[in-house]
Amino acid sequence: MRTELFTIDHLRPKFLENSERFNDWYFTVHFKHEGKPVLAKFSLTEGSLLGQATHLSFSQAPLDLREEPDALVMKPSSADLSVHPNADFSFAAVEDEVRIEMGDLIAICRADEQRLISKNEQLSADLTFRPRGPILFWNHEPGAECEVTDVTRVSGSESLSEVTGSVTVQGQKMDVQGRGLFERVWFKALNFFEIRWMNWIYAHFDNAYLYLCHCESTTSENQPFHFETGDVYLELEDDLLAGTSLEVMPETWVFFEQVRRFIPLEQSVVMRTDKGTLKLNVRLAHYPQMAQDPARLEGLTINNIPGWGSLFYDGPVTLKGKFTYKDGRVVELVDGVGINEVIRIAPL
Amino acid sequence: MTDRTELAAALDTARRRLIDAEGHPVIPGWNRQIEYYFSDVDEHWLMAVVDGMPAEPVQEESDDPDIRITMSSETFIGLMNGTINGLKAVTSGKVRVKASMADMRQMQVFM
Repeated sequence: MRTELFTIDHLRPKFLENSERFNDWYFTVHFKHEGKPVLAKFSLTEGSLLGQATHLSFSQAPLDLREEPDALVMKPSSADLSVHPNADFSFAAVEDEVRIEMGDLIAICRADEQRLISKNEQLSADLTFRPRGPILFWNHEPGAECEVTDVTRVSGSESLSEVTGSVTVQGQKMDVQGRGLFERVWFKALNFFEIRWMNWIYAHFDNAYLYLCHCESTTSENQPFHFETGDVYLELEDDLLAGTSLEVMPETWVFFEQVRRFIPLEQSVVMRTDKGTLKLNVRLAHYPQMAQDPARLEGLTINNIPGWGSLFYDGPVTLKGKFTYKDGRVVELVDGVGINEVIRIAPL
Repeated sequence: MTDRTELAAALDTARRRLIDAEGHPVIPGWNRQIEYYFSDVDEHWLMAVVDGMPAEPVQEESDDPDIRITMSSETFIGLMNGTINGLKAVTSGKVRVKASMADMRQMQVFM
């Protein structure tokens, strides 16, 4: 289904009657400040499955990579900001609006636009999000359920948006004319430890935008389980295309010192559609922002394998690539920005 | 230090989570020995589940439980009354778990 409007029902929190649930209202904006690319992110996450919290971050420093004898090593930047205070959740819904409040953050969501207000002392904002074009839906339809793992059914929407307003970072006000994402996702079951590797990527180009996700997991019966979805919208051609197959492959790796793990520095993506093939190069552009604290689960023994590590971060990325139609036409995709969210859970 | 009444109530809460409002098992056909070890008081508690129905926990150490959960009694009480998040308790090291992948999923029912 093609639409630029949310339904109010999909903006409301879901499964409030369930003790186990996840709801998010997730906002990002990429813009330039004094000629340099920056990224602000504000998320409101409700429910017990991944913890109730708000997460605010601001990325501005270029990635700091050091060549060491046996590995490329990534260093943190003091110029970036990341805070994720716990927050009480409340919501109010009227006929044409859903208002979510968590701590310093307020999300005012309407069918055609969404507003994010942050009253945080370190990172305040007042931003308005309007879809650039058709909203991208998990499994291509509003509210469709995706079998992401054998127990997890995810529904959601990714609205690649034009964003206006202002952000104030540690007292410095920045006017915003940028592009970003408003995401609304919900699910009511999750066995987090079944996940082995997940990539979720959204990207804005001047002539296109896209979203894709794959998740490799293990079932309760210890069998491999694969999930993939994705859509690309080509603006000039006005083509909204659903992914029919997806490959995400790390090309180079970097040692993420803070979490004591190697992570992909560059990844290649191939997504096939009925009309052609999308190929992307995705590269980390700023230091990753942790979605959850990295965990070394020394005390966890699953299937007699002791000691596991859990990593869950949002990597700000730059992207380039092309979409090749089956008739040979090529749409070049340059200067892309987005986020590559990664989950990796593996033995230590 | 937590008192015995709170610990007993928390154990009862864990047991009741395996039984639905009509008194039927939440996970029918499930047969497991679940051992809780409360490290601060050095106590082992064993709960046998037969065809999904949990027995009253007994203070006893098993040679080979299907699921072993190690934590302080305070953490266990927090998990049962909802003041501590289960996933966070595991990721922060407050809870040590030995289980199969299948049982990790079922543990979400009672943990």
